[in-house]
Amino acid sequence: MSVKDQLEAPSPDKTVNGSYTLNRIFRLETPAAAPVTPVNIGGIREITAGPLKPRIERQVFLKNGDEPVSLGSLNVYSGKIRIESGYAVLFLSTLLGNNWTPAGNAAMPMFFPDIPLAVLESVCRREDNETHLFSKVYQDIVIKNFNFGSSVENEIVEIPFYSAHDAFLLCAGTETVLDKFAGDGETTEFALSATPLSLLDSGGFNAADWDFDNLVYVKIKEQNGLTGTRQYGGISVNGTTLIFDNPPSMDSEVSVLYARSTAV
Amino acid sequence: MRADHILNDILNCFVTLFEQLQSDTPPFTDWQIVREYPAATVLDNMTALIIYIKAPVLAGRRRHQGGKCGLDFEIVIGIRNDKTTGGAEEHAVAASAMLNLINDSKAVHTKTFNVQFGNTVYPGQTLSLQGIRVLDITGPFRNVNVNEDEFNSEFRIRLQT
Repeated sequence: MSVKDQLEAPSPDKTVNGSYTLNRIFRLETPAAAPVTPVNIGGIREITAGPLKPRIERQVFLKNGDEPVSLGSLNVYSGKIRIESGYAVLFLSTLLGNNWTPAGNAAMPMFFPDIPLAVLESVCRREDNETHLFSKVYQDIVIKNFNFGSSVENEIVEIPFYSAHDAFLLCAGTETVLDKFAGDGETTEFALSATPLSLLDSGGFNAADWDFDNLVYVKIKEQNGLTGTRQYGGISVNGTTLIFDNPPSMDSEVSVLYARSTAV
Repeated sequence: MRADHILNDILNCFVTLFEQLQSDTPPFTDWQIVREYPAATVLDNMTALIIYIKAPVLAGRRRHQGGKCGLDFEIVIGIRNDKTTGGAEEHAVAASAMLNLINDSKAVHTKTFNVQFGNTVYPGQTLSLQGIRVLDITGPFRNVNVNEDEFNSEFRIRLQT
């Protein structure tokens, strides 16, 4: 290589055109299934995501007049999903799982709980909509409270979200898998739906909370839990078997996020 | 495709793609595929609607730092028939089929064909495998300079290589 090198022309197989990207979500609050079936999301014009930034959860003011102490500091990034409004309401009702129909619940409040609702996967493909280039995975996204109005032109709704867990990129030929299992207080081994692929430790701000034995995460949600707790030990993977040192408790939910080859 | 034969090779890809459609994909099976604008003898002896494919023309260049340009082309695909080969109705069917094909990104980029560049045949090729991305289509543009019992319209298809 020299400073006189001339690169080849930009090739369509290296140029990502977002109109060929498939967006889909894995809803976290779904019944146990291995794997959880993702839901394709239509109408998306654009997804933006910012960098990870430190965020202070709360400050505690001490009685003695000292400077306040920050607790619960974590690193988060924010983004926006720009989506056609008709698709936006479908997306939101899917995300919330609230059966937004005349036969179910007619009204959908514009209030979103401050908890992770889904894993969002953007599958970037070539113009044939088959050849996979890479995927962007936004894990455990939390929808921020927002509202939307009206526009003379096609209404585009900006749905703001954030996540406290690193987004990551999957290489060509791989896809996200979410397996969910029901704990019974006795079972220590669970059959994953595919062989987890090797992941690279992010080494980033939130390095500790992903890449656990080739799994992005293992979470256990107790019976009355809200979101589940990420596990950092007491787990191993042997082939497609997830093994716990101690069985998850009765009526708990085990969630496992990882990547598999699409060539299965 | 060969960089120094790019115009011929793009044209070969599209002609063989449509010939493949003609051989196995209705309604294209009802029509005749012609390379470049049909000669007068072909038009005089027309027994089915003709789809003709003209050589591409350069329509733009895409740049990146430190390298050659990527090329954007426009290729014209025309439809010609007369009252003895289906008339206006068949013409509209062919135009609609063309729009439907190009609008289906998966279909147009995954349809396999055997293309020949020079003396070498490359089997099982697709537009994507040959590095052609179909971006857009405009038309049909009606040509009114034909006899009143004839129908001629053209599409302009934008593509990248």
